[in-house]
Amino acid sequence: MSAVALRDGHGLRPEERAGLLLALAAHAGLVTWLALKPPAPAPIPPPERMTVTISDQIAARSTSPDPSAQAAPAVAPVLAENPVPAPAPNPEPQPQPQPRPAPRVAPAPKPVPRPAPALRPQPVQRAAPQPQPRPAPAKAVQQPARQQPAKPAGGGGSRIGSDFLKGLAGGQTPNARSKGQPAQDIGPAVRSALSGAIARQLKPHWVAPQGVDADQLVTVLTFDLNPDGSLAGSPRLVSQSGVTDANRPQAQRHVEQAIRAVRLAAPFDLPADLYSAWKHVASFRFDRKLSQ
Amino acid sequence: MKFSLAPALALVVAAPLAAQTASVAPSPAADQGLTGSVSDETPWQDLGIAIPTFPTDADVPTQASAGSTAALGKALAQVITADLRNNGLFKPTGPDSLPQPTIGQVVAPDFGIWSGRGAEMLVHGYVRAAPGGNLTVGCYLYDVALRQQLVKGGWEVSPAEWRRAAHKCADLVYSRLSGESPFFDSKIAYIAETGPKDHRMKRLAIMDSDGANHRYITSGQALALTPRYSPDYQSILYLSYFNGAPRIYVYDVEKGTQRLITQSRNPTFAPRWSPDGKWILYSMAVAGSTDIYRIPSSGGGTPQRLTNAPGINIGGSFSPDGSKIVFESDRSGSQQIYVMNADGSDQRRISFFGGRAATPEWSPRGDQIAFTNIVGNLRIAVMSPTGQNLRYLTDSWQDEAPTWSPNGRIIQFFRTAQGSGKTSIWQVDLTGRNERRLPTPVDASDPSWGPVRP
Repeated sequence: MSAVALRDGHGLRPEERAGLLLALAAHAGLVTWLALKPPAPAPIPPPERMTVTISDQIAARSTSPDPSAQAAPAVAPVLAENPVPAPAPNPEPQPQPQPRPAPRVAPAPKPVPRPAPALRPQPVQRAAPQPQPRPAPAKAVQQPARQQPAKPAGGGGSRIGSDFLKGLAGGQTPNARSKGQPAQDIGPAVRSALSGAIARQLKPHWVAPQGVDADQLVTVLTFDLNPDGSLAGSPRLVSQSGVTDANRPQAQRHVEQAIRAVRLAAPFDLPADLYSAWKHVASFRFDRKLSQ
Repeated sequence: MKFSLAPALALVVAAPLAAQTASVAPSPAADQGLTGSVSDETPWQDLGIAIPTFPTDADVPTQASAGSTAALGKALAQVITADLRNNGLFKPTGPDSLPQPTIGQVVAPDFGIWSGRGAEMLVHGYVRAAPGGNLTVGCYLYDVALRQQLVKGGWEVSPAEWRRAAHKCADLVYSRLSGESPFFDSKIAYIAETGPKDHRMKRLAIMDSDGANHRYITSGQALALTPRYSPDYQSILYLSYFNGAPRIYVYDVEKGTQRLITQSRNPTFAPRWSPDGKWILYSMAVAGSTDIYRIPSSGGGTPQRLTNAPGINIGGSFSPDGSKIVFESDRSGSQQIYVMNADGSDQRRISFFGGRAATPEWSPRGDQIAFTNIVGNLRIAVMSPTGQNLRYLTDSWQDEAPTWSPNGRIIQFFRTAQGSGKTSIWQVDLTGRNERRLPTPVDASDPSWGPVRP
């Protein structure tokens, strides 16, 4: 702009004046657009950090309480007064399993006759097996096929027997209760959550020492806790690994810092009803990882 | 091992008792115990250390340069702060911005004040005038969060050496918190450079590790080069050029005398000690071929030639056990690093990375070799003695001539500034993270680290 202003003293040529006007108009347009511009969309809030605990303790079977085992029978008082009907439904379900194997057998022979026509042009190779399945499945297929639709229609009432509306099956059979794990048993999921809670409380206090190869050091401690979460006794060293010639001077300091972290993190804030699970921490691993 | 056995033994002993005392019997869940892990994923953090003034029981005048005991208490804390600040591991806060504790609080600190100031560690100490004009300095390191004492020490020093007490205290704090050997209370020999670029005066000088108590040893009549402290740190080996004639001298630091080891009309380079102090390695150019020779450090005797390959073989440095020598050779066409046995046999190349490699020096711990890697810029790097695990420690325009600290954890080198050509001594630790410039009154090159004093 200043260059244009200087040249103004010498007089403007028409094309320069036109260009100046065009530039002024464009600037005015830009200013108005900036003034009227719709407000920029609010910046996307950064996702909040969350601590994820990766547990290596996985059970093949859930030990959480089985709801069906715990559910109380809907009409428990009636059952208590009259235990006689209880055996009655039992014989009724028994015939049910009997027809069940029958339809299971039926689909098995089914595929046998189907390949049979396909194999017909090759009688030489499987001459012996062919004649045998042909007559047998022919009857077997037809009979169960008719039985399958018939049975659910006729015997369907037996499934929803006299025990219907009297409560859930599990509530009536005493065996079902004993099958489920007792609720007091603390499973791997709970243990994993507890150790995750301890790790979260240790983390702000755990500072690994610096040094060459010091990030290879791993210290494993054990410690006991009182019901109020405070330390019972002092943490003890279980093992240390990753010690090399280069980081040997830091090894003792590594243990010391780990013990310091436990002492500073105590008392731990942990659920009191699960005290039996966290009263003894058998091995807690302290290491260093660069998250970058 | 004894820790892991203890619980097992306790269980064996407790088992018969369990029947009698039901409460002692561990439940199955507690028997297994909880396991878990926690990782430190934060970037390396500097440790906050508060270093308030060292109080005194009675403010009496002393012979020390810092003045009375009260003034000395503040000066001590300032020296400790400067030592720890220059190290890179710590974030020290000096006495100027901290409240002064009473003499009683030195052994029983008021932790509430210090935890409120965000200090993780606390250094307390005291100064007292000892009988006979000496000074007694005590030093205590406390963990503020745990509210416990980590380490303490005390020294009686003459008033002239009051700075040593501060260095000793800094050493105590550093070695306790880093696990490494101390090094603040030590001396450094180097070549002080003055004068114009084409007519440089190079003098041998020594100073404290923080640059104080600086002293020139040679007058500057002759050019002094490549000083090296002897393994017992009693003397300094250096190379002197006087009127173009090289001489190798050993200077006795205590007595202030020097003796001639060898002289020659041929260009001579890089004298180094053997770990037992009995031999001196050096390189000499004879008829266009530079080779490594060794000579008894007692002086006299004929130099024994160790290399005979064509080209330049230079800069031998012994391994700490004295069995091997690492050196630099251009027999393959460019400067590379080779290793041979102490008698010159079994010479083989170990550096096979890009660029050239020069001025190797074996660590006093034996696990690393420091050298200058030349790929465009000159950078200080370390590798294992087999030539594996190359790691760069610096990244500047021209860093060269690495030498090791006595504890083998810190490398000194000199850096030439691009353009001005000014040289200065720098230190870097083995992680490469903590780089520090040593203050010198004039330009400085060829540093060599002296002993940690008793």
